[in-house]
Amino acid sequence: MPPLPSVEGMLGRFPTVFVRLTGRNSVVREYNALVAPASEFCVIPTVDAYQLGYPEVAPSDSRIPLHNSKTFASYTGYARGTAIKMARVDLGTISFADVDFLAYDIMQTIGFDVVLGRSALRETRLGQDFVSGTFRLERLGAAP
Amino acid sequence: MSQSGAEESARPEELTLSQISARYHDRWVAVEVTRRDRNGQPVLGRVVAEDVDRYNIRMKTMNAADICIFYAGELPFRLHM
Repeated sequence: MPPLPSVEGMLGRFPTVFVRLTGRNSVVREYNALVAPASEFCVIPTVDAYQLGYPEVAPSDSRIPLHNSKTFASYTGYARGTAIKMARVDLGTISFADVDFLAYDIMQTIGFDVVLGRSALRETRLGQDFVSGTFRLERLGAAP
Repeated sequence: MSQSGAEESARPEELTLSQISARYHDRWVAVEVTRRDRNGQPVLGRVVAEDVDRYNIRMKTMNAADICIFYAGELPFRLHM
């Protein structure tokens, strides 16, 4: 069976998809990510960004603001994260290079490590079918 | 037991994601993925680390070059993002 040109999943309680991230140091980590079109950025925990080769997310002196830190509003209020460019993002058979991520520690009680926001989803077409409870992500330009 | 047999018995058991969720309910797991579906999504894997805390999982898999990490089990509440 040939691979599908898109990624399909169940909406379930939350639309999630496994995503493989390749960092600047070529280390690969895969996470069950929340598909969140309402989020401007993709989000990754600080510890994972560090292990993927982005040591700038853990400065030795946290009193000094980093040039690439961003303040944003989330469901927990205002917060600050560090902007990084993930070297490679693989969503099943779909791949992206140099995707904007924010290194920020979302609460672990949520049960997700990674949020896939519009900085990755803007290169895809996202279809949600609430009748069948499924969603489909395909790369822009791919045959429907 | 042969050496290869001993190595095989020392390796974690290959499980489906449903089996992992049932066996490691409400814990964070680190999995070596051994099979994927047509979507490229993991379907089979070996659990190499598990913990109730997601940061401990990172410490246990610090030197892994390629590992899949996720929360096994129901989420404790509904999200409204």
